[in-house]
Amino acid sequence: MLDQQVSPIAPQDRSVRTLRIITVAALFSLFFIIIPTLCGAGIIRDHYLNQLGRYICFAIAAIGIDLIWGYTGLLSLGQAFFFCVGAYAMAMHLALPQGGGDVRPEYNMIPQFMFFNNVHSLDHAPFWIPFRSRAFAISAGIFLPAIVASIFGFFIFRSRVRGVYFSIITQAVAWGAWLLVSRNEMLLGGTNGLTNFYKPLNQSRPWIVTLYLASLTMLTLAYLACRWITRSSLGRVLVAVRDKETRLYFSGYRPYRFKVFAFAVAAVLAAIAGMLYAPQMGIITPARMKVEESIMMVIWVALGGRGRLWGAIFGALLVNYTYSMLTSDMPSAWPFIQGAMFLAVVLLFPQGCVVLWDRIEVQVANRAGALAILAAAGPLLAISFFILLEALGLMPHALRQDLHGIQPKYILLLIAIGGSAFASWRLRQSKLKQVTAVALAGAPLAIMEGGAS
Amino acid sequence: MLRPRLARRIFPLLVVLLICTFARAADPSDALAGLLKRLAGADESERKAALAAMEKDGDARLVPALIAYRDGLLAVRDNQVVVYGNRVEIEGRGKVYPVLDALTLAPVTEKSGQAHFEESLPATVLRAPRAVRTQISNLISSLSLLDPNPAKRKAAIIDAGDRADEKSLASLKSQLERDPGGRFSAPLRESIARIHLAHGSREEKLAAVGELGKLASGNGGMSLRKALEALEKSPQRDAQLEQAIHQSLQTVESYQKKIRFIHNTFAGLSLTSILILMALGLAIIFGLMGVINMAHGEFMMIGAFTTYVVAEAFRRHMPGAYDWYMLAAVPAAFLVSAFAGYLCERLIIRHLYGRPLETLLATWGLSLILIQTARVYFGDTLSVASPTWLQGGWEVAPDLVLPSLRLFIIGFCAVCIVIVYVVIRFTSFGLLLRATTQNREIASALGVSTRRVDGLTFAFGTGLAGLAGVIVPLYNKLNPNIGQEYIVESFMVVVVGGVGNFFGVLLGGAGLGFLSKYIEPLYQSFHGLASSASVLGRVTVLILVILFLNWKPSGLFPARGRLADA
Repeated sequence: MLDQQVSPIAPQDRSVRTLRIITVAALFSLFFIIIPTLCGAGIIRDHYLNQLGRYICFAIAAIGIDLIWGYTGLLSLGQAFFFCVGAYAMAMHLALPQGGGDVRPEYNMIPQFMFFNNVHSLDHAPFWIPFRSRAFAISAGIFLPAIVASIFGFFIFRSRVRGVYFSIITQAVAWGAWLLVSRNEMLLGGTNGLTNFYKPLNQSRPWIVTLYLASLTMLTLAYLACRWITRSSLGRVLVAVRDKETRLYFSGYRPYRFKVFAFAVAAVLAAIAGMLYAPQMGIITPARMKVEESIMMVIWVALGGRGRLWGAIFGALLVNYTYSMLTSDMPSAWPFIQGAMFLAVVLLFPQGCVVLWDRIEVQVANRAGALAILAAAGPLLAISFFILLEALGLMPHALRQDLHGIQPKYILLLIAIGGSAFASWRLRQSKLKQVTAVALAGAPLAIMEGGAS
Repeated sequence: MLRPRLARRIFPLLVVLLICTFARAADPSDALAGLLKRLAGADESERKAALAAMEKDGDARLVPALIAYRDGLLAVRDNQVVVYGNRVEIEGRGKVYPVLDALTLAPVTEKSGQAHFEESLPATVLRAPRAVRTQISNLISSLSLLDPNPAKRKAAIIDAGDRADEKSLASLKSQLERDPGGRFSAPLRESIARIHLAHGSREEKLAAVGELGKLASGNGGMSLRKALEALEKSPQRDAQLEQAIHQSLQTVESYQKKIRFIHNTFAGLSLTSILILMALGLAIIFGLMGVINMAHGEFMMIGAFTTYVVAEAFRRHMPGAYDWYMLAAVPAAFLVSAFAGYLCERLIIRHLYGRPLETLLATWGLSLILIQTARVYFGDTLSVASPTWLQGGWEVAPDLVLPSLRLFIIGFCAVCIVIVYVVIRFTSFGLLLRATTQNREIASALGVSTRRVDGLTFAFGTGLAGLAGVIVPLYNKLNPNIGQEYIVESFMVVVVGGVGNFFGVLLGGAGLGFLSKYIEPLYQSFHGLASSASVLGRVTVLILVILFLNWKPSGLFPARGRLADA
């Protein structure tokens, strides 16, 4: 398992390093500078930046899942619960007048839903009172999941519950929590959740850009932290837990400690993601806590690529944009595609999308021609480009016309991926047809780009 | 001039003939029809006379017509007294009233033989004047007390007690005298005592209190509490009566407590049996292949929809035999689910051996696809009507009615469980299954085609889920998400029981089923928690399961030996 997921390229290779540096720099300037600037200039609508900000929150949670699943081998099906712990902690603060909540005098300046549960002052819901303070809300959002995860993890891992047993129990816990929070008696808004926050949070441009940048910074920090963990000797122990726990146990380690640690870190990351998500979404409901959501989070990581932190980020964005596109373009097809995604990622490409990148690096390391590199980069470029256009609302109108039930953009995407696959295959065979093949792959990309500008 | 002997011979004949003609004239339905005609006629004194006659020798068959008369739905149409039924939606005509015969409630037919409907009530519709409406209501309740349908009659008797209706007292008493040990004696005695308690003299009240204490029924308890409240409020206290009531209430409450316990046990038993049926399939598959089948609930859903299709086919093509659709649905559901499971094993699971976590994701994806397919084909709002022999219940003791549906579920699951045990323990397939579960390599080396066993086992396990799908629609709505409701709890059963152990699953299922049904009432007794008792019960069971796993990480019957760590 370990061997498959380590990059096949020697990291010392100079051109590969250059490629990586260039890519990282490009991504940084794109997300940190270009996109906020474009939004400030009004080219990107606020709505799209808000959406991107929310999906970046999902990516933070995905990094946590990658840490426990990809590196430590614990498949938790309850991460959405920790996500919601953070989101609810923040939402409780935001729903109160001290957090800028939209409360009315006729409801005694407390969240409106409480009145429907016969609570007329916060004294009857004492656990709400400390959430008036922002510092408390934030620390609760961080420490509560950490404590819950540690206690739960301690009991579960110490008794050496592992593998699918662990998955089932986390799933059951998330299910139980969902049942509880959905009840009105919990005074957390029941199935309607918490809402009526300070309106400009997800409507005025300065707030949207601020929250977007905050999420992005948090993502970067989370990535760096997890990268540091996985590259340290601690990370090696985590991988050992995944690959041969019994041997580790007999070598004098206590695997459960490492598991509890990783589990708590993942829970905190999910909760931080939730805390940033709630204000950007403007509402948080128990539906986010459902078992389905947790499993969906796992599939982000599976599709992006386990055991590679950036794969988790890429997967989260990819799946969520696919979701938002398909649920608006062809709603009844989404569950089919979702299901097919699960099957495909498990059966056909268990390594996920990171393989696409590895292919580029191989070409670069082999000093292949520019055409070959371009052909290898085709699928990843096409997907990223497609998502970026969609994410920023820049998809040209012509490509969004309905054409016998399917939009041309999907056809172009398929042609681009298929074409570049065909191209890299042909390139290996003969140099003669290089130009035609690459042109074939490049044409749809060019069309998308041409339409965009 | 007849000769005396002949006369003597003929006279009885004449008498018989006379009686026959009279009997014809006095044929009850004819008489009732006549009464109704008089009631529906224009003459007011005639109407009063008809009502009086009905009070004297009416019959429960008059009840629907009287209710219609009271509510203004009675009419004379083509010289026939008819009532207008509840409005029904008919395609192309919107909401219409069916026209029914007032006595038989058979639909009035047009010349073509089709049932007649009307868009709106005609102007000729009759409605009882305000002055006689109370009289008619009383008449309805006293007539219902003699309803030929035993269930309706019993409901009417209890209803008379609920309303403490003094007017029904005479009728109730005469019924009890006629048949003191009959099937209605308990409700009759209860209602008489309740009426006495409300309206009787002091002695009657005391006697009634004693009687209600003896009967110990829930309705009686209600009346007793009400009487006690009234006593405590009234200016003149009656210590002796209060004392008697307290005593009776105590007996009633201790009896009711017992009843509730039996009810909970029974509910727990039926939940248990369904959980076991679901979990058995999961456990067999998990034990053999180490595969967690997240789509297990969806195979149950497939069974449920197969049942729906079979039941619909019966309803359309042979409505007379609808009660017996189950005979066809059981094998059909098993086979369809098993076949779907077999296909899924061949196409997906087979390629994922040794990767349990990935299998979990793949089967989850499969479940999404199955749910959406069912949603596209069948939609969300379907239901299967239970066969008539599953309606009603078996009254073991007063207030203790065991619903036949639950009895059937328990019996059905018990039979299935026994069959599974027999298949695993005594058939050659079971032998191969056990061999492969214990040691795949050795079994394979000894010539067992483990791949074939895997496929068949998966089909067997999913088929069992399909069987659960036959019974779940009997008490639940049928929608594509039906499988999801049971899946988490079935997993818990498997985890508690220990992997792939038959008796572990039985014990685990029983433990979870009973626990949740016993814990639920605990929360109900707390004020403020009652409305979420069912959720709290489930969550408590969940916490208990986690604590249990901390004590026994591999369940009740852990796998032993070298394979335990694999």
